[in-house]
Amino acid sequence: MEPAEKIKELINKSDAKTAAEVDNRILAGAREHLEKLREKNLTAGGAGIRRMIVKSPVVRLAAAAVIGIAALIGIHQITAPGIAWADVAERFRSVPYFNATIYVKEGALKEPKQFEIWMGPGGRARMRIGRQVVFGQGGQVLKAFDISRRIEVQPDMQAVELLDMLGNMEEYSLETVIRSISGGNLVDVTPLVNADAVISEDMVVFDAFTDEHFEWLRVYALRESRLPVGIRMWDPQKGKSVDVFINYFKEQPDVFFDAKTFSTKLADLSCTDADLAYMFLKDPGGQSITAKDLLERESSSEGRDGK
Amino acid sequence: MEDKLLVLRCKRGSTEALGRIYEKYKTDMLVLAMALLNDKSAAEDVMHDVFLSFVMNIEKFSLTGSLKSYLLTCLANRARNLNKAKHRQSVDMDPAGAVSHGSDEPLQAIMCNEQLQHLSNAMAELSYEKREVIMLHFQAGMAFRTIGKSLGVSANTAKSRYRYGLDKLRSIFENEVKNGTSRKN
Repeated sequence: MEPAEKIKELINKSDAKTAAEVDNRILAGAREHLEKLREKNLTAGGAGIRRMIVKSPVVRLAAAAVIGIAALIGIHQITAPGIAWADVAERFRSVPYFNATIYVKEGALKEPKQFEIWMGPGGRARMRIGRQVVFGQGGQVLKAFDISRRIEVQPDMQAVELLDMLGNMEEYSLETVIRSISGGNLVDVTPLVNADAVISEDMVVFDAFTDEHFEWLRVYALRESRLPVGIRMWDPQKGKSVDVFINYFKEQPDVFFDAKTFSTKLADLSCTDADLAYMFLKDPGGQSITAKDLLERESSSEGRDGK
Repeated sequence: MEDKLLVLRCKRGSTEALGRIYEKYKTDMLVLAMALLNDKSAAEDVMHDVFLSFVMNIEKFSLTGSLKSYLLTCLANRARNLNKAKHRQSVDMDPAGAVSHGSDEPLQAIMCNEQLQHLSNAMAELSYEKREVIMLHFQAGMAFRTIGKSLGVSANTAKSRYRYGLDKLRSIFENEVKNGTSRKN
């Protein structure tokens, strides 16, 4: 074999393994320098330009997006003089019920996965994910039901994770938001107004950026009420995205969050899958949510006409 | 594209991205370092210096070509400087010691397979200038013109170092075969 061929072969077959301590020694100085660089970047952002780090798993994105609602409610408050984060927390607690419909797309060509979550006072939560309706409280799953098979089941793991991450919302604080969004890695959050992204004066748009990754988050809010109505998270690397539509309620019946009452309806064959998925949900505008609502409305109007 | 994004993340201070770059090119860099220096401890030192220098300049760094070639060229430059320093020391102390004194050190934290050990031992028989050109050509895939530019010599000089180096390797490999055959006999 010619020496050139022999050398090529030796190079191709050469391999070296390193112990973890060697890797650490090799990268020690470089890591330290990057940490300093990261600190510098954060400081260079300025007092009003604080950033958040967002980790990428789907559930974390979804949770981060929902928690972003809370963050936004705070943002306007914190810009006003004399208002502390305690006020922000209070403001968020003053929103009694909200619903977030979350679409998570894990790549540019992937089909989105939909989550629906309703949060109420006292840390009560109800979620619809795939064929499951999941009830939770304080971040813990209480019961999960498969509405197609009409039985109690083990909860979907993504539902468990999402509820767990949202579990601290009852004791909402800026720190909680940041911990949830960053997976415990950061620090500080204040999205910035992005005037270029505004298409109407009725709306205000905020952007938040990530430091280490490339995801960004955009929050659409109503200018007068300051309530957020939509959130988008986007990962430019893979076209991964999370879209959240937000709805608010002044009230929902307690039974809506009651797993026990829900379970009694599983055996009711007159209930369709759709009836079960949204059982006891009341639309704040008085519209029908399920076929049962439609029929009830019909029969009550007939009753009124009969009188 | 992946490398550009990794570099961009490093610019933002991501140690995770640095770790990814390290894992991606670690073996290539170790093979080059061992082939040039035949010394595990020195190989670790130059790897350390290359990564430190990479992040120290990361803010101004712009990746125009291949990250692998860039890292390997940096490593070859560092190894050359280290080799010169060692050579100066060895001239004062032990002219025969030159570079390859560390291959038998008990440090086992870098484990080379048989082929790498063979490569590294064969290369140690060549002058540093020749191994550098051969390795940059074969491993980093660099053209002689580029190698010459990076070494501050002409492409023809780089090419002739390569040719003489290969001639020497031919005799090294032939001797190995002969010795192997005579041992068998």
